[in-house]
Amino acid sequence: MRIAVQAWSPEYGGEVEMGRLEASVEQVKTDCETSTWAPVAPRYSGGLLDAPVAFVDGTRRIDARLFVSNGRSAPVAGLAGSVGAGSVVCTPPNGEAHGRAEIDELRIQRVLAVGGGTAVALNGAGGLSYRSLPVPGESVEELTYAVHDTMRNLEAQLAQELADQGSLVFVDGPLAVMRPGPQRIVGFIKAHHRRYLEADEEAVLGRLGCGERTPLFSFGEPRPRYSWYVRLCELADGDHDWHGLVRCEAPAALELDDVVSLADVSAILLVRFASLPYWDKRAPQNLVPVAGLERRLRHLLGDRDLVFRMIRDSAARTSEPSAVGT
Amino acid sequence: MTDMADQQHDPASLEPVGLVLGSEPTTTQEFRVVLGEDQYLQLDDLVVVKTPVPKVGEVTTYGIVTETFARYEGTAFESDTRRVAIEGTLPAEKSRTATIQIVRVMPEIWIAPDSGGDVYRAAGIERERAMYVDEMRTGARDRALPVGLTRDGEPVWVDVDFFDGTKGAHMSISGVSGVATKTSYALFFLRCLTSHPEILGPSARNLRVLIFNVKGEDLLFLDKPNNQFNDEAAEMWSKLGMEPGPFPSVSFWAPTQEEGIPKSSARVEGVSAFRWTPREFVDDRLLSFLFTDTQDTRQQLTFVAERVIRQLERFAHDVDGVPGAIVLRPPQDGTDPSRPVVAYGGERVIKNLYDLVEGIGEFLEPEDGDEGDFAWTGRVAGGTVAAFMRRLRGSLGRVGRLVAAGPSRRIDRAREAVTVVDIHDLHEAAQRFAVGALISEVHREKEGKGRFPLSVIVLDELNKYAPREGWSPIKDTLVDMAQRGRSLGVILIGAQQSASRIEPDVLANAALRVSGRLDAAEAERAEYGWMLPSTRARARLLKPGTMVLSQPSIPAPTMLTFPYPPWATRPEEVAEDSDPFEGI
Repeated sequence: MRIAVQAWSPEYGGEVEMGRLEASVEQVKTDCETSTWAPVAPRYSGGLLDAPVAFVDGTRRIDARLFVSNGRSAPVAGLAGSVGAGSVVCTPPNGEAHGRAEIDELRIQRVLAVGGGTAVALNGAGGLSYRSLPVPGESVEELTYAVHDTMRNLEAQLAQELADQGSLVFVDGPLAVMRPGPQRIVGFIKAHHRRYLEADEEAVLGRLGCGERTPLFSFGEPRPRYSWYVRLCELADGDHDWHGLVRCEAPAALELDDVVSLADVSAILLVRFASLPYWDKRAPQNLVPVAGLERRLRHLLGDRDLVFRMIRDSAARTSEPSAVGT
Repeated sequence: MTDMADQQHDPASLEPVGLVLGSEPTTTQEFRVVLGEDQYLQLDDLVVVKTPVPKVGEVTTYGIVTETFARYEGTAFESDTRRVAIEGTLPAEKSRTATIQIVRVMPEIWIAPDSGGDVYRAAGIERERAMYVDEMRTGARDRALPVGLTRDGEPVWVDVDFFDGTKGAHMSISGVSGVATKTSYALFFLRCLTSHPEILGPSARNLRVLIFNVKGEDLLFLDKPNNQFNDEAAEMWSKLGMEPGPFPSVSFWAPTQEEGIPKSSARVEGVSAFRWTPREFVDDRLLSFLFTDTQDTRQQLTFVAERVIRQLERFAHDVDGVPGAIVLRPPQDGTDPSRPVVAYGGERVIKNLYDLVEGIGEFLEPEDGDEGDFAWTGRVAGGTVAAFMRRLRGSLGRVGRLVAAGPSRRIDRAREAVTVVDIHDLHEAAQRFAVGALISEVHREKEGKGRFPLSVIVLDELNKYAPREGWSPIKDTLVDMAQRGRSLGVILIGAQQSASRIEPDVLANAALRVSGRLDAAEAERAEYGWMLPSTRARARLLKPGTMVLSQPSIPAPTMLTFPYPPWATRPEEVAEDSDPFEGI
C-alpha cells in the first residue's frame, strides 16, 4: 500500500482529480511528433528564451445572487459577477540587467447574468455598473458558466492582442474558447480532469523528470490543438507520479516545427516561473507571475462586502418596489 | 492652487509631490504621503496640503517629514524581493511613502487632512508659514533671526523674543564632546545675534558677551580671519543675510603668570592678564568660590565660609602705599575703614592668597591652641574648623596665582563686545573659582538695573557648575540666573554632554534647546522629550555641523546645519596679514 498526498491545498481541489478523471471523448493523435513515446528533454536554444514572455490570466467572482421579476411572470435567477483579466510581461535577466515583471494590461468587467434571456443592467452607486448578460437557461450552473465564459473571452481577447504584437503568450486554461491562427499562444492547464492518453503513453507522465515533456499529441474538433505535458519540479518521496505536471496546448494552425520549438521553450520557461510549495498553495503549477497578477486582479474586483452593499443599494434604488430582490 | 501661484513659488512646488495616503486613517498629528513616481521627499522637508472642510472652507495643513518608506506592494515573502528585482518573475508595484508630522493648521480648525489630497512642497511664503515665521514678524516688528540652514539650503529662524527675555530666555546645547560642535554653534549663534541689530532691536545695543574658554584654545582666535574659509561657506553665510567675518570686538583674558604677563600658550599678543587683589577678593566675597565642591555644604564648610566672608568685610583695611593689599583689624579699633592705613611693624600685610589664608588662620586656629574666635567660626566643632583651614590651604596651590596685590587686573567686560576668558590651563578648582567670581559679578551688576543692555554668558561643561545633585554657590547663582535672568537681562548659553546631568531648574528655563550628536542611551532620556521619536533616533547619527533646534514658537524640532566659521579656531588657521618682512 502506498499513500501519496496531493500537494495542493485541499480547498483548491486536487491537481489530479482522479475520481473525476473522465475518459476522453475526443479523437487523440499521438504520433504527430514521434511514435516512440518517451520523456523528451528540450533541445531548443533559440532567441525565445531571452525574449520577453507574456502571461495572461483572469479571475472571476460572484458578487451577489438575485431574483429578477417583471411583475408578470415568476422571478428568474440572476448573478452579479465581476471578472478581470490581465497580463504580465516578464523580461528575463540579461547580463548586468536585472529581469523585470511588469503588469501590462488589467481589464475588469462586471456583468449581470440573468436567466430566461432577460436583459437587465444595474447602474450602481460609486461608478459600479453591471452590464446585462442575458442567459438562455435558468439554472444557476448555466449562469455561473456565463460569468466564467465572460472571463475566458476577456483572457482570449487579451492573449490574441499580445500575440498579434509578436509576444510569446502563455494563457491560463485551454485554448478552447479561442480560434487562434498561427500565433504563439500556449495554453497551460494546471489541473487534470480528463484523460487524453492510452495507458502505455500515460505511463510516460510518471517518468518525466523536472523540465522534461512528453511528445506532442493532438486532438480537438472543431478547434484542433496540439498538446503536451511538462513536469515543473523534481519529485520528492511521498509525491504521487502526476505531481507537478501541467498540460500545454498550442494552436494547430502553427507549423509542426514551430510547435515542437514552443513545447521545448515551455518546458524550459515554465520551470523558471514555477512556484514553491511554501509560496503558493497550488505550487508548482500556479506560476509566480500569474499568482502576482491574480492577486492584483482580485484586489481590483473591489472589497466583497462593500460591493455587495452597493449592489443592494442600487438594486433598491433602480427597481420598482419588490421587483428585484437579492 | 491659484493663490499659491500668486505667491511666487518656484515651479517645482507647483507640482504635487504626492497624495495623502488613504489606506490608513490620517490624524490631526500625522499622515502619510504616497509619493509621485518622479518626486521625492527627504527628512525635514516641509509640506503643505489643503483640505476643503464643510462649513469652514479651506484648511491648510503644514507638516514636516519625519520618516520615509519604500516597499514592494503585494509581496508577502522576503524572497519575493529577489523575484521582483532580479529574476523578473513576480510583478509588484514599488511604493514610496513619507510620514508627515503636522506642525500647523491655518485657520486653526483641527481636522485630519483628507485622504487623496494633493501634497505640495512648502516653498516661499508657505515655507515661512510652516515655520511660523509670519508670527515672528508682526507689522514692522521682525523678530525672526536666521540661525542656520535646513538641508535644502533654506534659512531656519529663531524667534528672538524667546532669547532676549521678552518671552523667554537662555539656550541649552547638548551633545557628545568632539562631534556635537556645541561651542561652535554657540559662537555661530552669537555671530547671528550681533550681525542683525535690526532684528535684535534694543537688545543689540551694548550687548556684552562673556565666554569661558574651558577646553583647548579654539576660542582664542575669534578676531582672526580663517585661512580655510572658502566660497562655499561664504555663500551659506550670505544666504543667512550675514557678511562673513571674524568677531569685530573681542578682548582676551588669561590668568596672570608673572606680573602683567598672561599665561596663555597659544596666543601671545592681544591677551590681557587677569587676577583679583586681596581687596577685590574680600569685597566680591570670592572666598565662597573656594568652596564650590558640592560636598562642602554637607560638611558645614560653607557655613563657616559665610561667617569668615562677613568678618573679612568688617576687618579689611586698605594699606597705604600697597595697592590692593589689606590688613585685618578689628572694627572696634576705631580705624576709619574707608581710609588706607599704615601697617604696624610686624602686622601682616595681606598681598596674596597665602597671606590671606594665614590671616584667617589666626582667628580660626590661634597659635596658643585656644578655640577659634566664635565670631569667625560660628561655634562649629573643632574638626569642622580644621577641615575648613585644610581646604583653604589646599586651594593655595591651585587658585593662589589668581589673587595678588598690585594694580587692579580685573577683567574689564566693557572693553569689547565679546570677552573671552581663557581658563583651560587652570586646575578644575581654579576654573570653578574664576567662573563663579565672574558670573556672580555679572549677576550682581545687573541686579536692579533693568534688562538692557543684555549680558550673555556662554558656559561649556555646565554640568560642572550646575550639576543635578548637590548645592554650591555657583549652582545657586546659575539657578537664580536661569529663573530671573529673563527680567535681569542676563542670558545663559549653557553647553553640556548630557542634559540629564544638569540641574532641572536650569534646563527647564532654557527656551531654546539645541542638540548635536547624542549618546544612544542619553537620547532616550526624558530631558530630550522635546524631540520626536525619529529625531531621537537620528540624534545618534548627527554629523558635526548639524544640530536639532527646539523653540517654543514651533511645535516640532528643526534640523539645521550651520556654516564653517570665518574666524580661526586654531593657530594654524589664522590668516596672517601680509608679512612685513616679505622681500627682505
